[in-house]
Amino acid sequence: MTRFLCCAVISLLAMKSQGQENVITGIRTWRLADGTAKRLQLVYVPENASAAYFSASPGKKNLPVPMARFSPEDQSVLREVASKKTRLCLAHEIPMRLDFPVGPAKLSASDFYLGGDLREWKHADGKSILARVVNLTDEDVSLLAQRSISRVALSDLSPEDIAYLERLKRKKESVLQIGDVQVEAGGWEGGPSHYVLIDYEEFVDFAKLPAGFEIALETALETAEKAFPPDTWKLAEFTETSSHTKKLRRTMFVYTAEFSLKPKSYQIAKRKWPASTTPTSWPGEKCVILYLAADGTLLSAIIGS
Amino acid sequence: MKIALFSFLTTLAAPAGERVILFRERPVFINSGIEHSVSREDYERVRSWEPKAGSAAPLTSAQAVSIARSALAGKIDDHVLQAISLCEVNLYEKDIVKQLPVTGTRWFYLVSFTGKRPAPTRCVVTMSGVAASRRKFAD
Repeated sequence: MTRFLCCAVISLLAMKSQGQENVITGIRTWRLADGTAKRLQLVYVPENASAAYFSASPGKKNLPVPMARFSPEDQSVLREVASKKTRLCLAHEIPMRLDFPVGPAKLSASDFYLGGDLREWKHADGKSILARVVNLTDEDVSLLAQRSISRVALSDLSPEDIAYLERLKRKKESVLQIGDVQVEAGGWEGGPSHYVLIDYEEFVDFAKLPAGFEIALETALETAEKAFPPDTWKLAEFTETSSHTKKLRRTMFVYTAEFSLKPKSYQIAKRKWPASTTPTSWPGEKCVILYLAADGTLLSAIIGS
Repeated sequence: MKIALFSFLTTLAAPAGERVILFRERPVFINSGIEHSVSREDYERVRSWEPKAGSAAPLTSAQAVSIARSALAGKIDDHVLQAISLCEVNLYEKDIVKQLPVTGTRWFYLVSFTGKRPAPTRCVVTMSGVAASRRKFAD
């Protein structure tokens, strides 16, 4: 009961402070009239408020629960949803899962999270933590800090943190992919043979940089001058593109420097940048592609298919 | 004498009034595209420059984008910058190489804008800041 009141008060305060409609995730512990309670994800309440529909197991139809079965407090919340005074947050880019795992985070290209910006969260006990939100419910928030996920009750957060979550629910804060981000792909024989993957933290930092065509070009040329003997290489093309995915709300400038190589330099390139050097079977001109960020940082490519 | 011979050769390679093709956009499997060219006079005015460390290009990429936007005004109002490339004439396009004045190849910027249509709208900008004309061609 105390927790429910805390949630209700926090939501109400956040709503009033922003002068906006109330937005809830619908994931909370719902209390029934018989005194029992269950943590469920609310999906829909029809206008006549005869029942509330909750998410069932994957592949199954939503589970309807008659309105009369809920406690008076929760009936009031559900009627607000039915009358559209309270809106269910259906922005799928915000992670909202009923049971989000806690503990070590798996971060890889294939198993990524969506999360908010890195920010300082303040706990009621006075401690603070630098973390990203990776899951949000009406009762708690899952925070990712240094590759570990912990769950914190909303009632333990500062008003600033609650205000941030309210903005997040209203799509007024950025959400990004957390995991390795593919920023470029290249190849010579029918489709990409190599990829440039960077850590999400690096991506966020690079995305803050303005375009750096001249800086990246200079670095690419200096790198080639240092690596290859004179007159055995030539810049073939240098290109600036921007990299983003639909899930990312940020853009990073990526620079591609393609060098034509004579045999001596080709052997060096094969050793230094094996993934982005033409394969020996390639019948055309031998070349290597160097990838750079706007500040001239060399981005390494990996072989993949 | 050397100057006279140079002028004579230049005239032979690209007669006055002729245009110099710098880039040809040729969509795959389609026998037509867009040629980007400048006048011979404009081409010969372009300073010789090679991308080497410590040698800044005569025109910055930002200047090239600005020139390209002005040249394509009205055509790319709802477009965004897609890519900017520093390139030379494609040496595999033998007919383009043949028509170059004896002053040789010159580096240029290829600026691509993208909008609602899938194909990008491109503009070639020389290192002297001249936007190339676009002309449709068919093989």
